[in-house]
Amino acid sequence: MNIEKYQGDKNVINSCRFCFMCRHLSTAGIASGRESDNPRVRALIAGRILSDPESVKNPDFAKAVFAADLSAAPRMNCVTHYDEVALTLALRRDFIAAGNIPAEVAAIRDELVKAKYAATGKGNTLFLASGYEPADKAMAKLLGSCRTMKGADAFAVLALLGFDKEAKASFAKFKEAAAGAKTIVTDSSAIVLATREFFKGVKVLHTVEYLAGLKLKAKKAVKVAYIQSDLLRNYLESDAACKFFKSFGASVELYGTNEETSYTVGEIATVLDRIDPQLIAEMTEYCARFAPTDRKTVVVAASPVTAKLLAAAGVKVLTFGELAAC
Amino acid sequence: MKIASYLYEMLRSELVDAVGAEFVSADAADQLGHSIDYYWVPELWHDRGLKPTPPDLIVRPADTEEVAKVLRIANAYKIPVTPWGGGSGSQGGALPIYGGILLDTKRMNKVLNIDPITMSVTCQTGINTQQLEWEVNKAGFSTMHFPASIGCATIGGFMAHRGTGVLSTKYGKIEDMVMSLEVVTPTGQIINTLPVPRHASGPDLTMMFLGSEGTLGVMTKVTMKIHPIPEARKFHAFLFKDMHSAMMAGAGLMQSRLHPCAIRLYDEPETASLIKRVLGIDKKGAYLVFGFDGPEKIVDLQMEEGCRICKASGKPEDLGTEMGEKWWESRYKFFYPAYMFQLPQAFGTLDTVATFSNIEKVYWAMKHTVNENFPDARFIGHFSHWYDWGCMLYARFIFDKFPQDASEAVARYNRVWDLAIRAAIREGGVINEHHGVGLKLGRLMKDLYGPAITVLESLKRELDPNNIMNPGKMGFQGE
Repeated sequence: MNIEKYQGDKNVINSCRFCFMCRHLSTAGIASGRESDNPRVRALIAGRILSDPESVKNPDFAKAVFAADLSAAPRMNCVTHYDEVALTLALRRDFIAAGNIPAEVAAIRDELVKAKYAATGKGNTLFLASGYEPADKAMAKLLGSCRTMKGADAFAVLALLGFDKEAKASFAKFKEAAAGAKTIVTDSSAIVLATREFFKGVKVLHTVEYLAGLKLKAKKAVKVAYIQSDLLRNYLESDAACKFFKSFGASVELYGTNEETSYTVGEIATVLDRIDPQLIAEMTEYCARFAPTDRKTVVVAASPVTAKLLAAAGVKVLTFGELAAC
Repeated sequence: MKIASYLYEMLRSELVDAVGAEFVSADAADQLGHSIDYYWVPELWHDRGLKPTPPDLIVRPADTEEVAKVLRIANAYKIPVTPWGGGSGSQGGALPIYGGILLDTKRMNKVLNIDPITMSVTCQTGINTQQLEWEVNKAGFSTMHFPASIGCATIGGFMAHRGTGVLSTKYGKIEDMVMSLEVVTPTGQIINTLPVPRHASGPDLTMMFLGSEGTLGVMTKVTMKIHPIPEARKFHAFLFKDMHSAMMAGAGLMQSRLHPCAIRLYDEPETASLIKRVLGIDKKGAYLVFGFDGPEKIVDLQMEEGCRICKASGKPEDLGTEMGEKWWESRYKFFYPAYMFQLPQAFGTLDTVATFSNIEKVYWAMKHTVNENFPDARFIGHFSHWYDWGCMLYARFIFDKFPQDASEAVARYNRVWDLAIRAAIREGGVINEHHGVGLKLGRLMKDLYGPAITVLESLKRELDPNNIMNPGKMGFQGE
């Protein structure tokens, strides 16, 4: 089983199964109050499966693991950086191998394996649109003449769900469709993560990395409450957002109460709203709670997933592209 | 207990009606999570491939009214209710040992009011304590409650077992921080204790509920003191030749009434092991660190006098501010995996508090008891919460190897506790200072209290006639 490499005296299963030290950082667990939304329970499930292999067929265990928001805040802030994200992905692969796939997840897989990758427009730059219209429009304006591809995150979502074989096949199709592009830009955290962690051969920039390179300047003073990106901060340890804000001339404060909690409402787990809509609703309500009351402060998120969900909850949120295009 | 067939469905229907279908669960993943807290015994059970007792149903109320509805239903059915906050207690206090309803408080996670004039915060008790601290910080204040489990536990959890933070020496234990409470009694009545913590209007109900570990009701709302964030907080460390001279220095700091915010003294074995590992100090002796906070000028004066007191107690090596600050920065690191003990080791914290006259006697009594009866165990300790009259001993025993058979292992584990705690009680020690009693130490409550235990038992019977609230904990009657 995939999880077997995470057992032993000093690694993730044994360390995380009885540890509570990242509980405050698991936004899913904080927002829902549900025990199974915490990394500890995923490690307990892994432990149970190792001692009782039949447990890999337990549908509740599978449901809990596929409902993980894949935030890397717990891993980043753990003093030993135990990789519970990797353990979660290993668990997903083991549930898939056992045929224990929640119906919602299977439906997403069936839909995504059919994805076709086709770009419209012309140019050396390829923009992978998220489908969140305000963000896509803003990026189209900033990029000018470019090729645009919609629904390009299929391979990434498949990979993050643990469907390795299907993801690989889908990525090959994506790679073919993306051929010829000199620069590929997206604000999909899932695509950026997948092309850096799982697949090689295609370099994809996050929009903020691209925009930071343009050294854009704001037309007037702007005060920003920035929802730190889980991808940029906790996975990539990138300072692109900081560079962008500096050149843009924005005065920046962090969204929420601290630098450690992820307020991104699951920016990596882009299909979590279909797997566990209740959890997404609870996370959205929780993260929206911290919106600044000062109406002059602009809330900025790196991910259109975050922007879309918080906007629906009444928080006025801009993506980096929208802010830059203002 | 396993609730029988259709009765289970009747109960479930009523609970769904009370809190909503999405907040009543018999999900196996949640049941697994709720069957294991930070107590070594259920961890061992899981490690050995056994299944600790899960709750029948997990209920997540959103507010006080919903808690009251749940308790009324549980009373009608005479079903046990176990409150659960962060689940990070080390005493088994939140384990649903009789199944029944697990009442998870974590959805009650809102800060309701910050009063900058009174300097207080009112919040629901299911809020994660680190999140509470961050919200209070954003308003320019601090709760000053910094336990190692700040990231894990809810504020209600700390109140339930009278938790203590690193700065307790100045700012007090949780019971010193609480001003007033809202409580749902076992029969489902919602009550409030008096709005201020100092009065002459009879016995203190707030203090009665603090430390009751969910056996006398569910605390649903709290108003706590908050503090301005101090201008300066400084630490200094010394290495004494032995624990006794360091203890004299620590007691001297308290007797001087200088009001340090923290003192921590590690015995020689813990200095040689954990202090070496976490802080990198590879020297023999007893490490002592202390700190002051407040206006910088005052802190500097206090620190000067504190150092003078320490230097007068033997001739300690001055480790300076750097090794004091490093301890403060690393204060939680001791409790992360890789630094903290973990299975297959067997370990426990023999948390005891006593007067300065007795505390060293308690230390030696426990150490000798463990060493003589369990030669394969290590015994280490530090003294971590200091009062005008005494301090707390955070003694630990560690076995690197323990029986593979779970029942045999638990029997041996319990024997360590029985012998060591009784040795401590004989020397004037009190079990315990901040971890609580729970399931682990319930059987020793009669030894500790003597005839006074009947007062607590009478109180429990009166408030909880059907014995639904967390039965079998704190030495109270089981189901």
